Amino acid sequence: MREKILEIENLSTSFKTERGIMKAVDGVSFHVEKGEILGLVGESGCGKSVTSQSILRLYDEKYTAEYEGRILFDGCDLLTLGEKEMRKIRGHEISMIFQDALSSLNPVFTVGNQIMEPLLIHQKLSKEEARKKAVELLTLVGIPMPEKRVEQYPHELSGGMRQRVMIAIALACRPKLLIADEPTTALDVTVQAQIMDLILSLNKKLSMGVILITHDLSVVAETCSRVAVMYLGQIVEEGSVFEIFDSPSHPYTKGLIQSIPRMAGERARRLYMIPGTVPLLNQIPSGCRFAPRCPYVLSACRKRTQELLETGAGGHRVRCMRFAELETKEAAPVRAAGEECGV
Amino acid sequence: MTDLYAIRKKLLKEQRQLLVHKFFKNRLAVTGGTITFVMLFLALLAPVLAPQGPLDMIVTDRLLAPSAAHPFGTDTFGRDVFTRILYGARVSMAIGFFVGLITMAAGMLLGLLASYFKLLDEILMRICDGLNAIPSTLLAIAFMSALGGSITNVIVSLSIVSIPRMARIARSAAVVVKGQTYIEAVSAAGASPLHIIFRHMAPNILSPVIVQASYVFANAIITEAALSFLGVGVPVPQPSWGNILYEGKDVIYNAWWMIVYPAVFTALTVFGLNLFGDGLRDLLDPHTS
Repeated sequence: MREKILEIENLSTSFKTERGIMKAVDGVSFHVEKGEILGLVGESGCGKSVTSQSILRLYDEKYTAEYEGRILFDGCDLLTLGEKEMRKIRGHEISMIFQDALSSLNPVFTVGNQIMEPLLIHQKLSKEEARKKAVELLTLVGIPMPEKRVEQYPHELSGGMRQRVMIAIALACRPKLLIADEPTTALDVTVQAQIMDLILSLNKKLSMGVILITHDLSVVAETCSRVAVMYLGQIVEEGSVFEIFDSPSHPYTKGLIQSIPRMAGERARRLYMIPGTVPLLNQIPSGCRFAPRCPYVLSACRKRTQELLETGAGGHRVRCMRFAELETKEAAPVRAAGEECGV
Repeated sequence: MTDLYAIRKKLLKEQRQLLVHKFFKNRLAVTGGTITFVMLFLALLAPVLAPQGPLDMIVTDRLLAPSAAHPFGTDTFGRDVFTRILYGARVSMAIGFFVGLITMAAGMLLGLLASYFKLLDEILMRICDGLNAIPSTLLAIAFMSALGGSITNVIVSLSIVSIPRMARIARSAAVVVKGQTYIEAVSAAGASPLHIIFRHMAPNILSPVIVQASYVFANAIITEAALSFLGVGVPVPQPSWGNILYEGKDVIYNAWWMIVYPAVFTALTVFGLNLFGDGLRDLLDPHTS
């Protein structure tokens, strides 16, 4: 096994809101190895983005957010660091790409200025050096004529170009870990493929760890080596990409995979969908959190809280009491899809 | 593909031309800009244009009606009203300009800090509320009587009076900018709060602040005239539009020119500045058009 660059133990992030304390991330543990791509998947509202932003501690700790657990980065617990030390990590050791590339660039500065910024902040380069480096970075992310592009403003670039610029900014200081929060959501399909290829090749070239947050499972299948599936602030299944796709153990993972439209082979008349929606954080069901939407639910599921269990070899973990049954034989669904929706 | 640079240059040029064109199409803004420009011109060139000194008294020529020699007549001490109005323009313009500048700088600073730091926000905004609760002219009078009459003190007290509103405007703009993804992105890149505030947020709130500054400019001219008229503004022998009015009020039935001309100049300047401000707003704020 390779060296672990990031190890998260029992991370919880709660927000103080008007309706009380909301635990958006509840006891999440996973790790990222050097040079690997970890996929973090789940529906909207599952806590993927909150988890990733918690790693960088981007939430206001004074008034809104509270973290628990440990985030070990290079052996050092990020949650114990002071704000100043944390700033040295952000954009330097750990970088982040946001999902909305179109609004992640400041409209009043040229692209070059914004790429130079982390270099000036963290590496204390001179302006000329930083500018040279910015041109190099733009070349690295595959932008033609970088000398001209550095002088341009964000509104002069297309969405794909802007996302490339964001990646260039994120890579400026050669981080050890890159967090890509749905980097392709706002882009069209062809550009999506280019951006994913870019992230993949840079991951190999620079051997940095990548956390890829997405709800697009096909992207995960193509790029990631390991996958963690999140539901309602918890990890419900974790394993290698083969385990997850070939033998998904958790009903939620099964549901997600079944919801991918198939391009080839036999097709069901209607595309499968997981009944219901992700409940709100103040309506977390008791027992297994997925129980109200689970087609294989038993009454015991609603009573007992499920732990994340090792299923056997290779660190495959599942949070489901019926996983053994569900894995061996095709257990009959207790109810048809859509029968008992909602919470 | 090297002609891309040329294309870009051409586009930029077109963009600039469009902006200039847009400004000149806005007739009100052009009128306002012209009036403001003429007033600034008169103020700057007062020593050249004025037929005599602002304090030169010709006692035999007291309260003469407008004539070729004295286009706006003479006042109670036989001073040329036209000359005094020209020199008064210097005082008014200087006060307006510096009050606008100071208010803009201080208001922006306070607004930006308040938008970022919650505790400071509470403190600063409550102080601003307190200052806003007192009518600004009264507050200015109070400051003037405490500080004593001089041009510098007029600038100081008018600035203090207009900063709260500017701070509010800057703050509300800054709060919007703070919520933008690009601000989150720079903080994820490890920028310090002060860096974020002054380098990334400040340029993005400039346009509403500049527009407000033009109104502060206009307002300062009116309030200065009011203060001087009440005798707490610019001290008396110095010419200022308010002072001329103040001296004219005693002889209002005998010498209308001492009231009408400075009043017309004040009104015209403020009118011009307000129109100019509206034009700036239309130009700088893409949401209103």
